[in-house]
Amino acid sequence: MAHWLGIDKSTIGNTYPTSILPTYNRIVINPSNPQEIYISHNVKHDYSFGPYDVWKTINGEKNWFPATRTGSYWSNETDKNYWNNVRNTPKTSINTKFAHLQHEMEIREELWGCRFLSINSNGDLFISLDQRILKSTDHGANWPQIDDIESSPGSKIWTGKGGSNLPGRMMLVETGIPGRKLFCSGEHELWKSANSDSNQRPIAITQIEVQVNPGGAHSTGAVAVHPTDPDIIYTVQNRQNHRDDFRKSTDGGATWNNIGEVIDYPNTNLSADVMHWNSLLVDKNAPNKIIVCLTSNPVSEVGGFNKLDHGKFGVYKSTNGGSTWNLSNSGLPEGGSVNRMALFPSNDNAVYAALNNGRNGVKVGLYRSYDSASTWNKINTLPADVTSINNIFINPNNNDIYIACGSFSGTAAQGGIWKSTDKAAT
Amino acid sequence: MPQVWQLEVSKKNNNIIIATVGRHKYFLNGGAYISRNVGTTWIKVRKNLANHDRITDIKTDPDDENVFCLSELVSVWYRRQWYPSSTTPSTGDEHFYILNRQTSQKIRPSNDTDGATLIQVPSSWSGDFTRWKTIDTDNNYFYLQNIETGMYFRPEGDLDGDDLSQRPTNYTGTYTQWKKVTTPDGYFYLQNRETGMYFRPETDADNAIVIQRPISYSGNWTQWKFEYIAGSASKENFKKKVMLPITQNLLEYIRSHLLPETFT
Repeated sequence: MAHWLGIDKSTIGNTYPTSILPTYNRIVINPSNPQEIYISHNVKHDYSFGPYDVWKTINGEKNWFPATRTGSYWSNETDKNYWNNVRNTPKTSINTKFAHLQHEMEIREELWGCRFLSINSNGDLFISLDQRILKSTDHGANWPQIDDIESSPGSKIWTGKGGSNLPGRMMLVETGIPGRKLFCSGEHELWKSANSDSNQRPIAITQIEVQVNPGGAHSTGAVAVHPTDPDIIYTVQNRQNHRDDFRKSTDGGATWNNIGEVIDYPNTNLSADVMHWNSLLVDKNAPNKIIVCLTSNPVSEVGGFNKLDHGKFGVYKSTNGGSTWNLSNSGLPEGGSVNRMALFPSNDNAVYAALNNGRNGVKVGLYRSYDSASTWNKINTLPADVTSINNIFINPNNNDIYIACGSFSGTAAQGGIWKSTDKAAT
Repeated sequence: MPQVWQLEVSKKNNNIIIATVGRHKYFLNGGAYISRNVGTTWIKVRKNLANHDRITDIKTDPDDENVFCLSELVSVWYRRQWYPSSTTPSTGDEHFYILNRQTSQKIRPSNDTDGATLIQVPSSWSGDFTRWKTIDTDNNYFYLQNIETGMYFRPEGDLDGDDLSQRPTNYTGTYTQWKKVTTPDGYFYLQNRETGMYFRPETDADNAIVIQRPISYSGNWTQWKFEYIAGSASKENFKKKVMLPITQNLLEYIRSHLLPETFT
């Protein structure tokens, strides 16, 4: 309301208008019945007014009523008399059904926004609520989610149908437990493969953090597993709850605790101020030594946060298992963007850092540390054109080093994949 | 690939590299690329991917060189099986190269005529002459049909050393039928239904002819694998669509051949 009236939220008091007009942005009509019309709005992003996400009329606009009903407003029967007697709403019970979000969607208010509304030639309706895709085949009476299928009722093991809007992020495919893979996502934190049947298509997965763990972290930046105890999992988050916290589970992801804060930054604007953490790496011989990098120019990510001083980006290091952290950029160039790091397979004290072009155009390259990321030195054996190193991979089979290079505006000679078979000597 | 975001080498096979390529000012074909020959040649992977050029992570499977998975910016995770050597190909990967275990080279008909001999060619060749598909018959036997010529192949006779040559698809007898005889490590023999024999390239040279050998020849020379070509089934349908004459059977043809691919 404050948004539309142009006043501060703190001063709005009880100055409410007597009527409102939601910001509708979609309208569909049943091809077989022009009297059956649906309209929707995005409460969250268009500053519209709830409750309800989709309205419906069956008599050509004479009477409208909520076609989708989700969340605490409806389960608590709020304003029930109004809907039943004033608006003549046929039903006021919840009529949406979600996959892994079901519990959360039952207890939240209807403030997520409907992202789209479509209808097909049969009159089937499709909407997206809180990034889930729901379909109604009964003219809006019921709306089950259709993009995730539960293996069996109550199992909380899901297979995707390819319609997901979840942000996909880092995957950890070697986790110390054969067949277990960990999948990071934005806003839906951390998942793992639900069984070891690698031939199953699609792969079944189950969430181990966040909607299954209210109050948990939302958006994993990077995940790592302890080298000798696979039940110990570490995460660091790039936005939302627990952003920049270093979190640890000692029971394979069932429970989580903050054990440190990688960077000292106020918990303001947790949604928009994104910190791009990458390459969370644990020394396999000395597991208390952990490093992670904060990337200032995240080329393969959604853009976002860059309010930190240049000096705050780069490599962070802990020597006590993640309790305390220090910036460890000694030897790295000012303005460079550490995009990824890699431990040398046979010597964890040797670390390589791939620096892509900095946000302000600083061109740097590939760096190496021989003291577990305490100090860094530039590798000067790269071809002269190659300055923007987006990623590094060291083949554990033979220690060959590969780098992924190039930038959006760079030349072909600056891009491509380069390989060294002699520890970057040539 | 002027802007490579990431690459990984398979833990199971140092020749396999997967990479993601970002959008570039002038190079718009970003996405996931795979190579089986240490980066000499690449194939882009995009079938069924919602955001094929917005890949945030890509990983090879630690246990299976034919599997990798990737994350997309707004559509989470995908698992892809590709180029399976002796297992079921992914949906859409219908065509394959036939590679010899000993020489690592491919086979093709020497030209497009009835009776052309089968010859060995370098593994870098990838045109439709080197591509094949199976057409099942019964009891695990199948024809091997060349994608360029549309013909099968068979041994010329029953003798050890007979050439293998190309024949039209009206040669439906047992001479043109083959079955796989598996070995423990992913390769297989191809045994003729009529003669019961295997086949091999005569030498390791380019253009060496392919000849029939008894099953006592059990070494690497008589062992083969199929390297499946990602998305090749849709390519074949495209070719058929272009070449299809307008006939009264058109509707039936579309119903039986094109609709399933179009609508899956």
